[in-house]
Amino acid sequence: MTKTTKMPETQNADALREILYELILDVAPDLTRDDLAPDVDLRYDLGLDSIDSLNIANGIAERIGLEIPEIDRTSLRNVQALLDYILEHPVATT
Amino acid sequence: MAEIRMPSLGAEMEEGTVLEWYVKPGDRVEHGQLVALLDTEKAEIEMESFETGWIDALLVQTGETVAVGTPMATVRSEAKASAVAASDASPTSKSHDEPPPATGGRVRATPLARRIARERGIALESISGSGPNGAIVEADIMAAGTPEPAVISDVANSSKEMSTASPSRRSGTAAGQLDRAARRRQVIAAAMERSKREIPHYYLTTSIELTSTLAWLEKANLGRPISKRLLFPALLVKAVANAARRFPQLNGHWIDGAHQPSDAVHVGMVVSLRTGGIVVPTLRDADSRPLDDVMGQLQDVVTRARTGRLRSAELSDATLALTSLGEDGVETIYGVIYPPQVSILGFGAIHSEVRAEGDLLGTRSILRATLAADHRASDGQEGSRFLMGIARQLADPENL
Repeated sequence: MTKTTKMPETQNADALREILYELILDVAPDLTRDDLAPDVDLRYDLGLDSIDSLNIANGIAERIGLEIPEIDRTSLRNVQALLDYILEHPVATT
Repeated sequence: MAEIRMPSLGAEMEEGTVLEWYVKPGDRVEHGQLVALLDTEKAEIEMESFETGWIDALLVQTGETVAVGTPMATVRSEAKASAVAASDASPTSKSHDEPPPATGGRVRATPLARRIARERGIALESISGSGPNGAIVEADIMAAGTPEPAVISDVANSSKEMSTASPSRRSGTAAGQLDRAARRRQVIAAAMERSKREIPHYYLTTSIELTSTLAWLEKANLGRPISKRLLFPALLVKAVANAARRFPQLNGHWIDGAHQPSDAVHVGMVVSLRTGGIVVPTLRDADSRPLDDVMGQLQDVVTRARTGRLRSAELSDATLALTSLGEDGVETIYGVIYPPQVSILGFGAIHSEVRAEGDLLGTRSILRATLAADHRASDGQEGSRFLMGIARQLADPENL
């Protein structure tokens, strides 16, 4: 095995989605889980700005070990896009 | 016996209202400890104690409004506290020294937060707490609870911080909510009315071409971990602060019929809150700090402004303000100056425009920058040079 996700809990999409919810609600405690439908635009619909987005990306780096490049970060605008991106970029642990 | 008094948080502030006591008679307080949540004319503020000792008595009750300088609590240096208590303060009191009880897997929450959650039928389990040790405080309930119209929005507020994201912290009843929202609207209305009544605004707008600046930023971020990355708003703060240093007529305060230029440049950053309203934390000495430092400062205060952890001591009077309505927002913003400041910069969303360069047409990234300035303190010529100075700063990001 040369590529695995860094943490066991990230091995399936449901667990990963939970982590994303937690990270987003940490950054935006005024939101609730109900606000975070997979396709809701975090910026346009929920008012998260670039600093919120950077904080979420930082949380992803800390929890999952994935450093999302800046150019990709700005295009990941909803939970589903973040989830898909993380699943497509498993973190090498070798 | 020492006293804790209603603090003055700026020339504008005349009085404040106790929204919640965090301490009760007999509690130990340390210098710098948060002791109460106040509602002032500008913002909700967590008040710190400048005394160390034991709370003897609370002299101002929850919901009571008193003038700046009024004694609010007495603090004795020895442990024995009197039994005097503000009668309706105690039930909502909490100690910041100790975490709220979390026995039996119970969610941490202040008593007041519990009561409001119960009244509103909100499950505490569904809320993340922003208080000490993750405890749910009243603001968390308000923020997570009933959706509210943005009772305070799009108004250039003061340079004063506030503690939470909710513009509608209140005593918990439906009637209280309405009163609170209406009163806050009145406060904002009064400030903006004063601004427009007293301050002869003039407005100047220019388009700033940012294509190469954004390319620089992208390159600068390539080798950086996420925690060290730069965001464009940090460049804006630095550019404004650096330019302001050279234009004292636009940086300072109009007080007693005269402009008092400021040697320091403290940028008030207008931060929109998703629950409605704004907060304006101050980025102190933004002109003399390195760009990375300003970025860290910006990220820190904006994050804490939204998660309810700003304190009064972290704030001071801004000498000018900066507002932007986000990456997807409008192209042009005409700010309203918050007295006694004398200018506010408005930055729209960066957008693409087709521009001619020689014989060729090309797409360029454009930022519309607008200066609203007090014509008593400065004239259009200075304002124009200030705005062009900001553009020049942005064109040379390496030297910001």
